[in-house]
Amino acid sequence: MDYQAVFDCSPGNSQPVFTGPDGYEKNIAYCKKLKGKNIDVLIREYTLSDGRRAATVAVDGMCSKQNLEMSVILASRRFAANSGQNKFPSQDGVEQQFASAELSATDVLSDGYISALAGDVMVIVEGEPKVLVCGYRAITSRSVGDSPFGGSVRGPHEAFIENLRHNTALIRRRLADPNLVMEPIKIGRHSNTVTALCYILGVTSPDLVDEARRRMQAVDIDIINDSGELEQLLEDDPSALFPQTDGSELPDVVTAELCAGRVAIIVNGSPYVLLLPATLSRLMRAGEDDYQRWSFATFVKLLRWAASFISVVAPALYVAIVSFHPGLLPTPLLIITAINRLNVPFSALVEVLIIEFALELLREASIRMPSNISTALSIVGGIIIGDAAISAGLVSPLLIVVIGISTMAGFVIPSYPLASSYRLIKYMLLGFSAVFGLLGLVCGMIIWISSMVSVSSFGVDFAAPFFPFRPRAALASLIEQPAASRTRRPSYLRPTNRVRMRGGRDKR
Amino acid sequence: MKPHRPLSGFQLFSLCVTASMFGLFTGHSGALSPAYFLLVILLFGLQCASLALLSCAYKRTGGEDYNSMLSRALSRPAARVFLVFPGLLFILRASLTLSGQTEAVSLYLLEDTSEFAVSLVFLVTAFCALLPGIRRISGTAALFTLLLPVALGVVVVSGLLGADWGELRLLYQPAPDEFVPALIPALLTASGAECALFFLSAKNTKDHSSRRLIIAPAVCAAIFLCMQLVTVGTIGLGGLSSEAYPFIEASRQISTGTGSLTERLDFPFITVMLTASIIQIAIYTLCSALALKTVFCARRTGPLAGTALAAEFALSLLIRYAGLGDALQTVCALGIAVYTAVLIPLLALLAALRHRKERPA
Repeated sequence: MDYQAVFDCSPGNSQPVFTGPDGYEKNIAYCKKLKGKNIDVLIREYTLSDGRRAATVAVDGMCSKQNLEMSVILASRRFAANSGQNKFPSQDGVEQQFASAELSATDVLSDGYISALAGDVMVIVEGEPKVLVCGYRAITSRSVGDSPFGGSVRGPHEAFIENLRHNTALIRRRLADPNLVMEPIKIGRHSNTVTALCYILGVTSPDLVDEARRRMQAVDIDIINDSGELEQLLEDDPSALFPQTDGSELPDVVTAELCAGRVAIIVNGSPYVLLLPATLSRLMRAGEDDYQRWSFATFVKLLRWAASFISVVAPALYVAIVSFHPGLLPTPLLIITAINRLNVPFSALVEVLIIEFALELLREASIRMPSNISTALSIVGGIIIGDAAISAGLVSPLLIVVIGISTMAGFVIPSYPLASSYRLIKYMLLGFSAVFGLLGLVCGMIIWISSMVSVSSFGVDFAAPFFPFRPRAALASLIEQPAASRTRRPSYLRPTNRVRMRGGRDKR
Repeated sequence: MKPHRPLSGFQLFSLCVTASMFGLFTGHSGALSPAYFLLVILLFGLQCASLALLSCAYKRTGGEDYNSMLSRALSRPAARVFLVFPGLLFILRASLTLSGQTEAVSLYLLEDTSEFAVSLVFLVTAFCALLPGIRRISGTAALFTLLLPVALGVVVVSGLLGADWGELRLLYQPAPDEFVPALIPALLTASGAECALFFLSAKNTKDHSSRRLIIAPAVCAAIFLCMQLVTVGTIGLGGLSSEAYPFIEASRQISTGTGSLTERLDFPFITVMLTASIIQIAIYTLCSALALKTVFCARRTGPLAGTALAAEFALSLLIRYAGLGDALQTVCALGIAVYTAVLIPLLALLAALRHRKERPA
């Protein structure tokens, strides 16, 4: 086997369909050459009823064989009916002979072959200048179900899956709008992963769409397996701590954000749809905020903001106060802390690091374990080991309370990427406060806020609408407005049309 | 899609409030007197008036916006040389803050930590805050300005409930001989509004923000008055002047029914004070770098800011070990007085003269 024979199917090296008297043979030879020793690629030749030869190229297991066979039989009969007229049907005619909802013709043979590798069926008909690509994909995928990240108490439960077509259908079902554009962009030299850039004409900022398209087209990589990879390639500043793209696996969230003026990117093979641009206020929003009464939604929102702060600051504050400034504690609490720490042999920092390390282990282990074992693991790790650590005098009970609250607060943050960033910042603050106490904590917080303020996502400030400050939008980020008052789209997304609801409260 | 580079009005407003208000926390404890409070309010009023004058003068010229005219005025060769003075003045001002805060932190928070290390932590954090320039620092200042009313609200409401109004009336009767000694600390406290000129001239602002600049000192004056009323009303002038962190001491005196407020508010107060000091150092350093950048026609602010921070570190050591604090405070106070009473009215006058020259006969 010639291991040096590399097929370059990039746009500059595409192979047109061979025409002429021996065009059909050349086309088949080219396909067979590309097939090589692959057992999954099927090249099947037929003789149509009009006497012409035809061949189908497909990948076993990725297309519906039944549909393919029926389609070829029907096409053959129709060709036979036409043959009495002693003329070959035109190209349009050929296309009409095949019963397929998704059918296209291409004069580039290599493109047709790549489509076949992606699950379509390529049909080569003798004497035709183009090959047909029929959408007979039948790739096995899991069915639409609940989100693995936890859905909402009130609101739709269905989540995206790994199939692009299913995902686009889930969005289209909610947005039956001709202005909804799902623009296909292929990424990956080897994977040829199909992605869809989604936006709504007349709502989304054209600059944002152009920028997203430009960045996607500029990606030149061998393979894209998941939207997480693409996300990192599209970011403004890869060295920043904060996520610069948002995402969701819930179709209702994606459609709501599309209507707000954001851009969505669906990647074939990933159930996680990217949303651009990402802002802090968006990352702190949960899907069901819109479905609940404004008063309760506001309460939950404020709880989330407080929780995000506690999750980052609480362990560092514990270290700073216990190690440097115990005088800041109220007297009863100071006495309790002193008694609890009496037999602890470690400094506050080491104590915190032990528990945090154990929690990180527990978290990683529970992700890798099957769900039925992870529950048992949580009990063993969280309760038994925690209790044993206190009994052994390795850590103080107060610390367990502080770390427990901090960890729970971290889980309240709706965005997993943001929560992960906060986990890293928590360790940074821990280090600062272990060396400089409260001064270190304050300095760490200033660096945290400064770095957050300087991040931008697709030209939109990450900290918008707080920095730059837009009073109305900032208030809406903190306090959920009643549904009838949410009449405008967020200004920081610069939508083409800012009116979300006409009339609002006054119209009723 | 490019980000909005110009600062919003609120960001500029936050910068002014932050730069002005943080004079409160850096402590001029030796000179706190009723005359001091009155002088500070008066100076804030004067700053408002001079900024309003400047704004009106430039708006009357028409044709060009406020920023570009100011920028052009400050970039002329004569003005460039003149900008050496404020450049150095801001460095001095930042050094004073650094030295004062290093002393306070070493005395009350980190007794066992070297003062060198504390100073370096302040400077490194200030550098991180100002590194990408005005935009980043203004974001932090804006957050602080948003959080400030909450903290102030708690203290003012609690304090006013517990204040002794009779003592307040008695204490707010300044003696005539108190005014001269109180002038320098009052000038230092009221400093900050002059930073506005540099942010405006850096062409990084929206032209409609001049009104906010005028409001900023007025807001500072109102907050200052409330804070001082509460502080003096709760612990008295004697208690106030003896403490480096007067507002923490004030909070210790406020009763909340179940116990003293001190055991709950020490952490937020210290956090606010430390944040305030760091941002103040960052703002003054940035202003200094902007002024020196114009002088040397430099392209980048970062290296100049780094140099300014190094100079501040050296100066703060000099202030601490050579006892230059009083002399430098006087120099800074004089500089601020020149700014408020001479430079801003002069610029306004120049703008008015230009307007007259350009107007057709």
